[in-house]
Amino acid sequence: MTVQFRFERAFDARVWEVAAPAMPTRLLTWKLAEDPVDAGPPEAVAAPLAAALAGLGRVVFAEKEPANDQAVFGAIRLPGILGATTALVLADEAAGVRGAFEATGHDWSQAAQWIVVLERSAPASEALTAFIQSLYADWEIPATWPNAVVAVVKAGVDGDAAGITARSEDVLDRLEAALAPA
Amino acid sequence: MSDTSQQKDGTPMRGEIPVAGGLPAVLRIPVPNSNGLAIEFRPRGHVPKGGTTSTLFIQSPNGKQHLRLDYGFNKNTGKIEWHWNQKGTNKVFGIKNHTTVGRAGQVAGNAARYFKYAGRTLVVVGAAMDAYSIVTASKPLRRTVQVVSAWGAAAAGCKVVGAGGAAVGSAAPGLGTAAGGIIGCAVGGFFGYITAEAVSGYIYDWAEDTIFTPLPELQTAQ
Repeated sequence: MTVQFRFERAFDARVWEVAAPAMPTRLLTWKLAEDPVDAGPPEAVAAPLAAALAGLGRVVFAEKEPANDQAVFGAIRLPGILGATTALVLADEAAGVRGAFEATGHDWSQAAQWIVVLERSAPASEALTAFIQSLYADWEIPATWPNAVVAVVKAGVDGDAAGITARSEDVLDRLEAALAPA
Repeated sequence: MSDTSQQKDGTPMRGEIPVAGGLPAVLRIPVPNSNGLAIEFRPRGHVPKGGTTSTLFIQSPNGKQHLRLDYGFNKNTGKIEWHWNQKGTNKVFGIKNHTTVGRAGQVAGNAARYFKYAGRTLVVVGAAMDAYSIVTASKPLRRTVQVVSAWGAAAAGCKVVGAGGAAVGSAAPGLGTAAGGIIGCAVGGFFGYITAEAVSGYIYDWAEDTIFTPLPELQTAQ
């Protein structure tokens, strides 16, 4: 199935349910020849998008029930009376990044997922965990952006889009180039 | 069925109506032959800070398979409107992702938005009424047995009759499934409540009035 990716610099963040910080941000949408039956990114979208994100750095995302073969980066506490915790999964390869679109408890298709891309050399740290926890607790990108964070991806409305915020336009250009038609 | 506690104890109020009315908002109402899908009013999994734009869910225990009635941007029509979103349930309901709903769906979506809170409130009101009935009863233990039995049977009745209602309502998949399940849950909850309340009161009275007469001792032969 052929897919057309589209990056937009000007968009309504409220309609697309993505973060609108003061940093470089683009909205990624996709169009397929035939509308998928199921919500969430289909294979034709998930595979190249995961590969493009893995090409930028190490990827971290929330997963309530990590599988045995998933590397755990840490854990965060979710807001709420019960104060549940959720695991942060670390993925270096595209195959592992695909898990972000199918995570239990953080459904991409319900716009309940964030993906954080880190520098390849970035070790787990309290500052990074606090940054990621802030994403899931406050549902917006914090004002303080750690040096090790390359980009933050927020699932858009119905999982039909992704709001991508990066530390520089250069990162977004690289991502756009990676998803450009061959 | 008659309520002996009301007659004997003058129970001032009971929670069967608010409890039955509110149960669909707090319990998972199973949908038969759907691989574990159930009707709910909130998503499974983490909910963003601003809340969810969906109001009615027919979903699996972990939420990965779901059919949900959502109000928001529909990329297929380019409008902000009520529509279905679904993942992994198309074979059960025959509804594709992004399917726009008609007037009935809009009404149901809005009603579900308010019922989620109203239902929970009704359950709390029912619990308060039943707690009051226990505190003011001349036989608090008897009334406690009745209330506990009634709530357990109401929950069971909700699930059983709700599942039946969902099966019948599935003649109109999606909205019909939800409507049948919710109405069935309320009806099953009500009859489960009043039946268990009456039966447990009767059993309590029967047990309380029971007198154990010791058998005469047998003289052993010398």
